[in-house]
Amino acid sequence: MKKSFLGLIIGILISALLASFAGENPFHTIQVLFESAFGSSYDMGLTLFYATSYIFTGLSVAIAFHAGLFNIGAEGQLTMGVLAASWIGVLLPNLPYPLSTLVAILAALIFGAIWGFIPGWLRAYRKSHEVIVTMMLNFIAAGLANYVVLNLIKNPNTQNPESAPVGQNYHLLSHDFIQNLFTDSPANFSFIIAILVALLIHFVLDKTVFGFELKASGANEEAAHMSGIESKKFRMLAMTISGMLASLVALNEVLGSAHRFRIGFSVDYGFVGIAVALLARNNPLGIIFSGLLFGVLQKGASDLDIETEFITRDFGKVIQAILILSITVFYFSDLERIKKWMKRKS
Amino acid sequence: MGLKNYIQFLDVEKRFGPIVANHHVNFSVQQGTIHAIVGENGAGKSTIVKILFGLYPKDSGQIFIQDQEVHFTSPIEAKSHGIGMVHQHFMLSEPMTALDHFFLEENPTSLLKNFFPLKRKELLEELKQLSQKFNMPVPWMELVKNLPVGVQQRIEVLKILYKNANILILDEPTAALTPQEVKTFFEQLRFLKEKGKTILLITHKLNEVMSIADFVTVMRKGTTVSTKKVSELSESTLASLIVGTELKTIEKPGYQDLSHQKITLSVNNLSLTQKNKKILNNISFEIHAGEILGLCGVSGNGQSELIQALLCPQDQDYGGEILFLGEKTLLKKTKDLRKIQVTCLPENRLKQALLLDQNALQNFLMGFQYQNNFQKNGILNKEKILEKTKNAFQALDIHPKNFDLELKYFSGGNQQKLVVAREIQSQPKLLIAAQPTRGVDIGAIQTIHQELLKLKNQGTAILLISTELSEILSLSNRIMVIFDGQIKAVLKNQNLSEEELGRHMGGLS
Amino acid sequence: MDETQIVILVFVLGTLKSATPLVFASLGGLVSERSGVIQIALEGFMLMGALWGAIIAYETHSAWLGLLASCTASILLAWIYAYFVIQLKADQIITGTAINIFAVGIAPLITKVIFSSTGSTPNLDTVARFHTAPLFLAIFFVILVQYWFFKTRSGLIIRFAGEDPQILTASGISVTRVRWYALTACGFFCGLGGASLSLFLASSYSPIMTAGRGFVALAALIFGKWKPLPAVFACILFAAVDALQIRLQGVFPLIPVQFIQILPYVVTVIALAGFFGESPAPKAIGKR
Repeated sequence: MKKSFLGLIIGILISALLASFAGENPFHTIQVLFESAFGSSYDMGLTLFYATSYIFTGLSVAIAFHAGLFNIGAEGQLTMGVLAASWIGVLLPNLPYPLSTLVAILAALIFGAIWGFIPGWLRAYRKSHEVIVTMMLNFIAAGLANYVVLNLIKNPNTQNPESAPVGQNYHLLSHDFIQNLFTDSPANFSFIIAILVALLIHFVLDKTVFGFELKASGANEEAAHMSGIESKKFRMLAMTISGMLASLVALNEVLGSAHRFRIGFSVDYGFVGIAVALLARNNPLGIIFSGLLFGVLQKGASDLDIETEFITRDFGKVIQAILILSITVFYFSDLERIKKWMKRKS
Repeated sequence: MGLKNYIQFLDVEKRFGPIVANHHVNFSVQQGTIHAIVGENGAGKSTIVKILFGLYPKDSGQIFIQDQEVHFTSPIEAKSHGIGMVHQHFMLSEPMTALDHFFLEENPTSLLKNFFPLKRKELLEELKQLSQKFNMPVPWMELVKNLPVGVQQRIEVLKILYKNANILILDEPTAALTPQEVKTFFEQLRFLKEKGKTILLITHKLNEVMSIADFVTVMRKGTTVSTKKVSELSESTLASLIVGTELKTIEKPGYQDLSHQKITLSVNNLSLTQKNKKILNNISFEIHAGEILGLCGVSGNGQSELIQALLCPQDQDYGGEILFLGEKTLLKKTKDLRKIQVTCLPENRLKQALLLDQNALQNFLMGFQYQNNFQKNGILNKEKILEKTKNAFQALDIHPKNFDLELKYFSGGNQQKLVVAREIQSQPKLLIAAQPTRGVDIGAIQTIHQELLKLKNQGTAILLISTELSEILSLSNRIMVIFDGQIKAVLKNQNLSEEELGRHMGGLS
Repeated sequence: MDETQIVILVFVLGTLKSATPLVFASLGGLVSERSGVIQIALEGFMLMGALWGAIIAYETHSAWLGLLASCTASILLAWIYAYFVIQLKADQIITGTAINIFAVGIAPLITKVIFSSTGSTPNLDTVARFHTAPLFLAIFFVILVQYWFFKTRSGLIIRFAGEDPQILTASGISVTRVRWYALTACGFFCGLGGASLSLFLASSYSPIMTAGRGFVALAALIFGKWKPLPAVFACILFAAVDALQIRLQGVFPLIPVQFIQILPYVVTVIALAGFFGESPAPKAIGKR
């Protein structure tokens, strides 16, 4: 944890430095960022909304990581999940209430699971590198979603690239307390579900035989094998679960807020999920907090356009990138080696 | 013959941390001879030639070549002094041709030259002459992966000759060769000798020493014992020089007739063939309940594959059968074998037994996660695991007693004690103990030996695989010798001489 | 020439033109991956190249200076990547992802500082643009790389670095140095790719104008089994399918445009799964 925190601090410092290079007062930038994230209950709601999806994708990346796999396909998996939920919601608008939500969630989970199973299976039995496969599947998912949304279930009443709205019965909870707390913001009950899922994953990884075997397969495949753990099977399963976790973004997006598939809805949820998991060192409880932090960054950056002269909302991406880089360096390398390297240079 | 003291080692010493790898190494090599260096595993053979080749710096002592003292800090310097080395693992890239490798040996005069067209024809011509001169034909344009091991070895030797080396170091050159290839290879070595090259041959196979070497230096426990002319030596003298005689003080439980006990494990005609090479060749043996069966042999003769066959029969296509308590197990999975209480101390604990980034509790659980007191309906019982781990730490005196500490921070001895504690916790019916004390300190060795004997007295059948003769002799009831995938002998552990074992291990009968 | 011949000629030229940035990017990916460094940041390198190419071409009214700037920018970003993955031994995939995100994020800041616009650069006049040059450069460099990889010592060394770097070390060649050179070349090629985007295919820089081409190039590289000529043909094939799709939209409305767009990725997954014969990646790739 200490190392991640150090990476975080250094990343923030570098970002501030970059802002000042662009001619901005870095303190002002940070101030704008925080005001934008926490300024009003609406702002906070939006922060929570982003954080919810980040928690799901962070968990997705983390569980694959525990099994020794690198899932950069959360983006595609969540796209498939959101697609499945909105598709069902458009096709069967009149399902009765609790059933409708359950069917939508199930559809999302199945699509996500398939999108995780494919790279998992390919890795286990055809030795294909999961990184490249998941990367390609991201694009395939985007293409498929585009096709379905624009050709099959397009919203006829708008020029926006989005699907028709799902039936009323698909709304997660008509007025949950989170919506009441952050009026008009897209924040919704999914945030609570995200936390519950994080707790569940924590429980599974920490307290069950299944979680133990999954982690053992990731930590040392050969030793796991000698201990009678079928590592291949666990890696495949981990990737499938990873896809399902990412697909839960559908809860937040389709059932909780937008109630439709908006093309381009994802603000890099999948990729930022990597950073979220890294910062939390793949600890599911830590992911709740790092998800919140990245939610703050995402929302905070959105007002940089208006409030500063040069910095745009995309500066949020720059901060994300720098954070990922600095956390990675501290995560993977032992500090001794970096110190030695710096000493040799100077 | 040429210079008598062509290469000379004088009191060379090398330490790796607290471990002394070489000390008081003294011997000379005569020019134009084949000079074998023999010894058991860990006797320091490889270390001393790696020092000569500049891969390790020596801590003290001197090395002379043609009476000039040399200090090599890198292989490149050694190469420029006419020394070449063939490593046990070939430095060849599978998707490249044999020819490609020789371009790397050139030293272009300027960076720009690296962008000029390769002079393939010229080099090929030059190499053809070289290979003709030394009578070592190579299909130059063939990809390495399509070449048999024997040819790959030839390429390695030619790489050295291409650099005009006069001293060739060969580290266990015949380990991967078929008998036929060995024969050809030796003819080529004799030819090289005639051409005036000096060859340092590291080997553990005594018959090879007898058939090809002119001189032999015997090493034991990091130091040189003696250097002799091979023609004045008998095989058995050589074998006794290698094992030494100071082991005799160790107390041995010795042989005891256990044939009335029921048979726990019986292996019949177990075989495994990979790439046309018989890795396991009709292996048959049995272990009775309450018996320690020692398996000795120089590493790389099929021990690892035998362990895999016993513990992970699902991975390969084995011939023959394995009966565990009368039940056929060749089709079973590791998971099921573990459930019927077959456990294992793998030979490489870091790779095969431990999760270095996880804590002691997780490591103690490995392979036993389905035990009923550790879990109920798939939920782990952490208190129970902690309690059992605590007891095990107490019983085998494992330090530090910090159960949250990642295992990489434990010493080798304590790591190994943890693996032992884990694998014996349920009083297994069969324990495969491979190199149970490799790289651990004397205190840990004693603890582990005591635990193995205790387990045996409780009726567990133990297959003890070790390259340490003293360990085998002090624990086993009967001793099997494996050589080249075959069981060469099964001996009762009574009045056994080390020479006898050493002869069998060297492939002589 | 009759009409069909003209149509075909136009189609072929159009395909080659739109394949140009893909070809450059896949050459960049090739050099990097064959030296043992996973390269998923092609997209980011190209984007930076396209941006700075357009800026400098606009300011100097010279396409060639723009090209130079594009290569410089791309190489600098490649060096940042190299520093992280070679020197600090950071994870190559995470670092590559971060570089891509960084490029997308920093570009609007640059245009805002320089042009006070939130994304695009102003339109370039004709002298500041390329009309055919990148196409010929691409052909030239494809031949050059093919020659370089298989006929020179440095090409051989790069291939060894990606397969068995320890052999280089044993022969006294520094693997670190080889990979720095390879990543520099990768940056250079991506710079050419970026310049052909903003100065050749288009006449200005517009936000995220790479539009996934870095990944299509990577897909082509894998589809071409990490060999220069097959990779280039895969690039042309992908570009042709794309061009065909635009032309045939009226004729065959049955095949949705999205299916054509995901085709490169689908065939790459199939290739990775080994259904088109074995397709081994360089053995030492991604090893830290």
